[in-house]
Amino acid sequence: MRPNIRTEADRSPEFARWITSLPGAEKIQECMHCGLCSASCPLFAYMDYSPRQLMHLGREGFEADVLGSFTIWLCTSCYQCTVECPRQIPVTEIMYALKRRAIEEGVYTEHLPIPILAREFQRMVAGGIWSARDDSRFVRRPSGVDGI
Amino acid sequence: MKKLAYYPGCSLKGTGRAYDESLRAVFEVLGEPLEELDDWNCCGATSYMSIDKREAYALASRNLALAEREKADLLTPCNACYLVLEKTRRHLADSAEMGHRVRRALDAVGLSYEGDVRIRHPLEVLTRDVGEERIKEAVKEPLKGLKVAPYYGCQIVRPYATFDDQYHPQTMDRLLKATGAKVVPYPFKTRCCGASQTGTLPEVGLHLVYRLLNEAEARGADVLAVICPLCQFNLDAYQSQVRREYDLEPIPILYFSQILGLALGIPAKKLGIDRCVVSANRVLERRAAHAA
Repeated sequence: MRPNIRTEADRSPEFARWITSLPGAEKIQECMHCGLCSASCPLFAYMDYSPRQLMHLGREGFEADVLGSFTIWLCTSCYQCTVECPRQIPVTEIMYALKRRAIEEGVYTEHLPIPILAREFQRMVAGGIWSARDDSRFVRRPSGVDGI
Repeated sequence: MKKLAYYPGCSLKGTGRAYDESLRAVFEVLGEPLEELDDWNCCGATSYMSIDKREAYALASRNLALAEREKADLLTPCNACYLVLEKTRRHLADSAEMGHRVRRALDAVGLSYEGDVRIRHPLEVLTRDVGEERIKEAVKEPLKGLKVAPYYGCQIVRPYATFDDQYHPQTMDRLLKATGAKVVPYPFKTRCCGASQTGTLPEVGLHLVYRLLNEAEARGADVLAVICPLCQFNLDAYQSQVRREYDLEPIPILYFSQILGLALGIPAKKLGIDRCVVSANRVLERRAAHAA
């Protein structure tokens, strides 16, 4: 059995720089490991890494562990961790950024349907905006959204 | 009061139709009929934000621009819509770069947004603008003896607590008390319902639903009052599945506006009470018992 040990070689300095440069995420450096994010998370019991562990793995650059974890997909964006954090780390927004990056890089866990749901939802909305004016329900996506 | 443009959101046109029906009926009776925002679009919910941040903000901002054109604030009953629109409003004010990109996108469709739209919730409008006194006066059939557990869900008070306390919200409690009902202590008021996990990871989602239902039962509630269409759907539509695995009595899940509407004497049919999966007859019977 391979021991669950991480070494310097598993770190990606680029990933560490990226995650700590997300808006507000420089505060991860101030994390004092109080664990309130994990203790308050309603999905904590089902996660492989707790939110506290995930933030720490992220700031140290363990990209494969972070992007491959269940944790980011179990997050329901209830923002409990965000309001509890005494260092004001925007944990939920960081989870969103991790979801986007995992989807972009195609590294999300195959058997979890959550990223598929997010992608299909986005395609549905982008393909035709749900509009109240038109009874056909799905109408043209507003032009200009493409341009940003 | 500044004009309100009612933004129902997609859920209130689908699974949450009873919320739409009961809100319209309640505001009508209170003399403030709702006017729907013309040509609104999906807010993007949490899923769009997981894919593309810039598009997600552009999508939501289109609704802000439409409201601004009507010189109105947005009245937003769904928790997810409320948070997405409020987050977008704040982000456009705080981030010059995102503001610029979004303005360019809006400009391409002949819209503009200067930042003059507030996001408001029916709970806020009913307690602050209409006021509990006016509501108490309008109550025709007090729901005396009905025990209600108030469940607010997460995104209405997190991360922003705009009109109510973040940990102990009170606005729905106050409205329910105005109907004559008894509000039971419910410590899971703002705990997550599991959101879409009921569908994607049922063993996880159903357990979260179970905990909320179990707490309501332990507190002796006759009914759970909710303000979010996804909370309502999870607690109501998945209840029989939860009861297959856990020992629980059925409990009806009503929107606060349905309970308020009953007290205002609005017919149950007009409030969409018959759309509930778990029968709400025990609530209707109590009203009938008092009317008799």
